Amino acid sequence: MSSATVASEAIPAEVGRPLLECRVLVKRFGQTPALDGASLSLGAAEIVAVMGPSGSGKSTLLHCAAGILAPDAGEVIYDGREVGRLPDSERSRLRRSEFGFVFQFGRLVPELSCAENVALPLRLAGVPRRRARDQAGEWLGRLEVADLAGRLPGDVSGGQGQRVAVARALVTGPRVVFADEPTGALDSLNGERVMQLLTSAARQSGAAVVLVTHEARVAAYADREVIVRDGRTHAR
Amino acid sequence: MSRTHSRALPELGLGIQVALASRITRLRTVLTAGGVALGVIVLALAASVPHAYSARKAREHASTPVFHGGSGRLRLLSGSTSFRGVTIGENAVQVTGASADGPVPLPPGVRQLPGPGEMVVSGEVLALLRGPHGAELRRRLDARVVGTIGDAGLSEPHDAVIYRGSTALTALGEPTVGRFGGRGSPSPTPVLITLLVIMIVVALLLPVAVFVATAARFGAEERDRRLAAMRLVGADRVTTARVAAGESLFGAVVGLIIGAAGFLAVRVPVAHINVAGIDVFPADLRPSLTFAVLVALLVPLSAVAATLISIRRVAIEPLGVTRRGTETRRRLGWRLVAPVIGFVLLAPLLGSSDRLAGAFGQAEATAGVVLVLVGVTALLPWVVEATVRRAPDGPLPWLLAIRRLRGEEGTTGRVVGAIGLAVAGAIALSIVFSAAQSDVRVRVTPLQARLLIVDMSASTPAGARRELGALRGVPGVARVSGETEHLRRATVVDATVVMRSAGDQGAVAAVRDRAAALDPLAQVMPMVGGGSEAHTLSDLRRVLFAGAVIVLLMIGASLLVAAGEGLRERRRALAVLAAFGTRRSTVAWSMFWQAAIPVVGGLLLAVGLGIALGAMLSAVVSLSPQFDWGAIGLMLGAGVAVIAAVTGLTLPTVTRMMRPEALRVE
Repeated sequence: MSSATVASEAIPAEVGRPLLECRVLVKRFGQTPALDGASLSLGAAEIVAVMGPSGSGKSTLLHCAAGILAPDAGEVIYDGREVGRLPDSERSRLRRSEFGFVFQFGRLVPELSCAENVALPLRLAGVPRRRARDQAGEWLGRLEVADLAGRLPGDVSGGQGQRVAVARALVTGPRVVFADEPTGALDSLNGERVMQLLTSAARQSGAAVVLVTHEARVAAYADREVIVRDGRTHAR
Repeated sequence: MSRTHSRALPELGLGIQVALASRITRLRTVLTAGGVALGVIVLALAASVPHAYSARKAREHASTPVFHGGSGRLRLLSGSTSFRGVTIGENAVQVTGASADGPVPLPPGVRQLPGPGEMVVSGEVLALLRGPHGAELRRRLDARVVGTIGDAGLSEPHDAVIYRGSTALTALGEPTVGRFGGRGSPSPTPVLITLLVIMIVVALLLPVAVFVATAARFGAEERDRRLAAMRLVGADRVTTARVAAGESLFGAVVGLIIGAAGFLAVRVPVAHINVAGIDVFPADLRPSLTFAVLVALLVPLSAVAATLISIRRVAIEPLGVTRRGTETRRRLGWRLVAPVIGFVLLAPLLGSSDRLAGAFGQAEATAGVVLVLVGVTALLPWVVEATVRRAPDGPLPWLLAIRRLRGEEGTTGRVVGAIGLAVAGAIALSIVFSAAQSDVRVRVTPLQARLLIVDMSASTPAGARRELGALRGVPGVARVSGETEHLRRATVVDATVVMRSAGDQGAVAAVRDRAAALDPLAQVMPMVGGGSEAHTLSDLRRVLFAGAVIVLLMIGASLLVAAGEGLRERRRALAVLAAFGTRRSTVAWSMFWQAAIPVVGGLLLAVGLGIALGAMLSAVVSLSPQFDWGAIGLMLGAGVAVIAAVTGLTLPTVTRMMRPEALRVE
């Protein structure tokens, strides 16, 4: 392991105790190693870019950090709790109320309108339909796509769909947003706009962001960068 | 209330919202609702048969006179006549004495008894009298209509019955009626008819169940992806199960409502369909409350269960959907269990039709038939897999079809299993029908078929001899033999009339007319009644084939939907094939083989099991099996036609998907 490996990654002093911490994660898919001792820490309201070439393990790191995948070894501590030990229902609750997600292709539910997609996490959390709809409309407005409220995801462009996905990620007031190549399927103009909206909205609402990308101009929106190579993390 | 329980309704509601959200989910909802509705209608009609039968018997009993030897005021003589294929129940009545001697019992549905030269008639008889052949009938029923018989006095809506005033009953010494409303238990339904009804219901209902299960799986891949997207934003496994359950529950409940409404709508026309010479009052065609409650609970629950079982086979995780477990080869062993148990259950019934008359025997027969037919659906996926596994590589269309069949989860096998089931049921029934009809033909000798029995009366022995002579003069009559018996105030005549040829309905009608002219109370009956039994079987056979065609069409629609779904899911692969320059005909032929291989396997299996089942059922009712190869060929042809039609109808989609523009998908 190189000297730059951040098995105990330094946390910026101004951020304080990490909100989310991944410690020496190992993850294999069959015989293929994806993570080989990767670590990551994230302070409250911090935006961290996770960079690296294709197949380096950055998406797997994000999935483990979000409790979507269970690491084979190592631990993920969120707000003092080890995520890997939580039951599925509790991890689902985290995704529903404390985490938000933005993926490369939006992952919107095609059968629901854009507004219904944004309202979905609220409804899953038990928010009454009318209130969920109002909050969804408000967030669509903040992401400049209020006019798409009634349209189905299949009827909007990629950039518009990503803005809807960002609205969905932020509507519950999450403490952490996980964004996996959020601009990967967009042209540069749309990519820039989505990043501006994502980071400014996250900063306004005080959400931390884990931003997986291989584009330097996207990583530039982050407070700091972590490099993943061959399943290991390195500070830049 | 915990969050889990308090969220159940909104999550089910979300499922309902999704059920209506897109074209695919709406189509699945429509298919589920349609299948459930059809199933509910078939079930409700089948479950109504016992009540309709007992209600009919109750009506018959209510009109049955109870005679007593005392000095009642009403004398009654019942008989029947046949007019243009309609059997008319004739009741001659004579009121004697004065009102001071006591009340006169009234038959149900009759407000006032007719006097001499008068009659009250049922609606059916009134229609015949007013119809194009009314004059002909009036010659036989020569009395003035003074009223109609209400429904309470009829065993079925088209019951043809009359009460005719007479003055001859006292002279004939007919007994007096104490009241109407006989006691006694209804006679059991004939064994053969019971067995055939069981078979028809099973053969129709199982494909409906398969259809509903197929509809529940329609669009499953998209549904699973949608549920995965919901998992990503925080839905736990319970929530995703509830959303999926809500989606299928909605279709099932809609189907239940449509089915209930459909049953109420179709029972009026169905009640009036004359099956086996019997029709019923629509109001009598109703299932029991227990059945209604059971269906209302079980149908939606089974649709939900089918969905939950299907999502248990995959792991729906936030990042997507993965299949659980590894691909395993289908085992033959347990698939043979159902048909083997079925045959084992039927074996003790062989040649012991008395046993079939009891409740236990009927349950045994039902279970046996159901298990053998279920065996078709259980064995078919194995047959398809075994065929495909052993199939050699061949031309490209064949290769594509074989590889696709190897890779799929048996959807085609299940759908084709329903065809196989319908075909096996229909073949088995055709064998039993043929055996029964052949038996009816064998039981009647040529001479018996030419004989009529005539009972008449006259006031004097000379008059009786004149009546016999008058019968000899009827055209078509070869000879008449008979004897007379002189009672205290009348002479009765028992004559046997030999017709020149069997089946000359005109000559028989002439004998009836002449007898009625000689004595309004005359009774003319054929020596053997096999004609009506053959007629019953023929009616049931028509109903069976109509049902089988409906089932095949439904399964065809199901196959078409499944094929369309398969194409949609494979549009990327099709685009790649197009990019390589693959001809459309290659893909079309691969579609054909993909449907034809399971169908041919299914039909061969269906023919084998159907013939075995038919032979066994014939033996159960002590008949020699008669193989109606025409009917077997017809059912096979219908199955092949369905598959050809499905392939043909998917071709436009193949053509559309293989246009150069479709390459954009890739």
